[in-house]
Amino acid sequence: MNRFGSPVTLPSAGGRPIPEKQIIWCSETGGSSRFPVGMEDIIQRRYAVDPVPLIAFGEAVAAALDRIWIVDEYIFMSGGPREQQTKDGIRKRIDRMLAWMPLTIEASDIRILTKTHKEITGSELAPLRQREADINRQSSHRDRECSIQVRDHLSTTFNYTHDRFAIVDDELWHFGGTVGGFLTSVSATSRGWSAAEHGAIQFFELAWSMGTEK
Amino acid sequence: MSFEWPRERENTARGVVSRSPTEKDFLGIQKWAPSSLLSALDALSDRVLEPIPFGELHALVRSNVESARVTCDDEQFGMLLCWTCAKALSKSPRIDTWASIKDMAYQSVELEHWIHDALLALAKTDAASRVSLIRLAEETFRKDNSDSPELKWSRVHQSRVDAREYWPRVTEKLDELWRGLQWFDLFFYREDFPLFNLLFKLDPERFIQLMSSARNPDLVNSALLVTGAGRFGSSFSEWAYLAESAPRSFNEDGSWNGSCLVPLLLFSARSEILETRGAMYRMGRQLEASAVELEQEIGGAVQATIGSLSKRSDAVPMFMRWSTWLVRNLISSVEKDRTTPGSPEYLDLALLTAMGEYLRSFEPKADLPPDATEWETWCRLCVLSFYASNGVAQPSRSEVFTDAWQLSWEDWFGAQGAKTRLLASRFTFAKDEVPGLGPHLLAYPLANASDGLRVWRDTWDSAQMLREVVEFSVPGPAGGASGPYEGSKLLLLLFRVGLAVLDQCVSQLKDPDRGKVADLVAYYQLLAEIVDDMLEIDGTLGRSEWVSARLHLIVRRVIWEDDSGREGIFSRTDSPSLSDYLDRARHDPVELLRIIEAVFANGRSEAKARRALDDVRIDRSRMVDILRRLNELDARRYPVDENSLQRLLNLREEDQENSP
Repeated sequence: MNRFGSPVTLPSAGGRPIPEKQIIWCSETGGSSRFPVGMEDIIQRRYAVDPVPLIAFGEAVAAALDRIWIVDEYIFMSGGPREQQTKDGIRKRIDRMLAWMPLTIEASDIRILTKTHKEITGSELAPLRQREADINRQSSHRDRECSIQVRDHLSTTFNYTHDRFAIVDDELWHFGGTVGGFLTSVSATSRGWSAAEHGAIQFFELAWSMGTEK
Repeated sequence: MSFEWPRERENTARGVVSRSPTEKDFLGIQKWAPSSLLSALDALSDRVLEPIPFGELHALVRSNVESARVTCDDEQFGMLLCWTCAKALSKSPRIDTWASIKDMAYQSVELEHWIHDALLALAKTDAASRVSLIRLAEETFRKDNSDSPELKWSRVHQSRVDAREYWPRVTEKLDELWRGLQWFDLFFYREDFPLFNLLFKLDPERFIQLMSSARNPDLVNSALLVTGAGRFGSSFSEWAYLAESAPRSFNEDGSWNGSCLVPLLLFSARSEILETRGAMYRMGRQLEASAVELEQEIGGAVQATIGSLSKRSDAVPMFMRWSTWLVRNLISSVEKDRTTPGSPEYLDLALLTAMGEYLRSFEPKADLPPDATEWETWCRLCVLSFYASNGVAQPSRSEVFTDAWQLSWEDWFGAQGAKTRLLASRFTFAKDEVPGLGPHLLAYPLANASDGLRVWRDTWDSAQMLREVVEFSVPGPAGGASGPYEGSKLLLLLFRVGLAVLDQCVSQLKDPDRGKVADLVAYYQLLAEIVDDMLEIDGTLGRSEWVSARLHLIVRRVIWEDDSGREGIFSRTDSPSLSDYLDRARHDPVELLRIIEAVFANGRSEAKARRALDDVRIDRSRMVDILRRLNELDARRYPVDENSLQRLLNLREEDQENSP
């Protein structure tokens, strides 16, 4: 079968330094390296109306040079039970996400893999489309146009994931709760893993290929 | 000794045996149960027809046992319960009697699992019972096939109803069957398993006929489970019996007649062979040490499977259809997976190869059956290419592929464009290998035609509209922004096929024919110009693929050049040379390093790299200094591998090397 192989092998790209491994708990201070210390912190977070996401993740996304890939069934849904989901809550969540993607962002390949929710329609996602257009209008010297894609086939054609994770350039982030750290329960993320080394890139490509753009 | 599935052998080796009473135990029930007790239970069995709550039946059986002063253990008591119910069914072999027993079986493990052995014992000792029970089993199967009888478990019942309603809407039914019915639930028809089992044991031919004519795939899948030939069955002899005796599923023209049985048997065989690695591991083999053994196991299983299937009267159309589906799984695979024993890709390749050997004498044809789906068009071409490369078939006509690229603006927004996008969508995932197996198989007819290079060039020219889509960001048919990226992906596939044509032509070139070599050099130059052009115009996500494509071309240019007296495809002066590429990148140290690293990664090409750098007077020390400085400024943006830098510095100037 190697008669159909490639005579050429390219060295794997990358070599970008991966940040130190770290575990960060979601907190109203934007992230802490330790569990909450007492009930006061836990309660404050639990009942936060607009929970503060992880600052470190937002910074990493904003500084990405190449890719931002997210796998999370509930990334667009605000916290709480389904009946408490409001258009306002969803809009706030998307606004928080847009804050990670300033007009000057250099990453071009932004993909969000989630699941279908009847509350999330094209109009809810319109601000992402608008941000994509604005980013491309802002910078005329980009090699590649910025592309923000959303697919929602988790739980349908690719119903095999439980955990949530994100790949920012070459770094893998693993989340116990919502990607970005929006969860109000005690929850943490771990970062600093090599996405290529742990097969995250290949896995994401596989999951992504099982559906089409929303 | 006849062949056994790996899991079957594992079960034997681990001594997995059922501890439940068997048909033989029921046949010997008189040995410990006095005839007076059995007569009393026979009379009691009339109460089952009323029907009777399970608790009451249990108490009545207990009271009869005590009256007969018989001492029995729990297992014997369970057997008596089953025997009473089996008697009731043999006296009144009706759907409602069976429904009463099934209802009680929800409360009795013995009834759930042993009743079929009790029924079998009765059928074997009483000819009239045998006839009536067979009739009841047939009736039950037919009812399950045509209706959705109520199930006690509402969740399973609803899933079963949903599955039944979904099946007629499935557009690619063979695909669903060959993937094993993803929604299938073991519990869909489980409560009727005792009767299915009975029918299979008493009249297997009738059972096969019923399964073959059923149009409910979940029912057929369930029925297969009780035969031992289904996914969890693990009995090769039962599987082979069914595979060899099931009626035709495929017509001579390759079309499928709608019978689910044979496609599900193919799925079941593939699943069993995929278990080989797991079975070896569970039996304590060290997999690293047993790679050869694993290869042999899989090879033996594939031969046994294809050997059985070859006995079918529809073997040729069935193999052609299944091959087309299997190759679809392979076109996006990478070499490493295809050569790793135990992987699905390794197995699919082995199955294809074995089927190809059988098909050799039947001259496999490219003609698709009337019920073929769109994606089969190019996949059939790929199957023929694969078989042709193995010397068992003629390649397909290249027009099957090339015609799809003659696109106008109307086509881009219309059906023809949609068709090309659909066909190509199966071929765009293999990123680790360039060109990749899919493009190679698509290229095979071109690489083996006398005018293949010209045909590919004409095909690229006929796809000019796609270039416009990319350059001028023409939206997609739905008006979305994804149009240019879609265009880029299509062109990349076409380019990869072109590169595959080049690779195959070069590998076929045994005695350098200078006329042919000149054509190949000109063709390479065309590919290089195309990549330059695409890098100019493509601002989509696809751009990085073109960057990689250029590196692939550069390295081919280097490794195929005349070397130390060995004649290559390229002479040193053919353009574009490595020097040309380096000269163009001379103001971009990052790009220069990327080129040099790619050359280093492919053989001992230091001398060529050094010479090319000298030709265009690139100062290695200065280049390395700049790269280090950039890395200090921003290590994420300018990552460098210190080993590569060192290797670059070690490329001494030619005059230095030659000096004493």
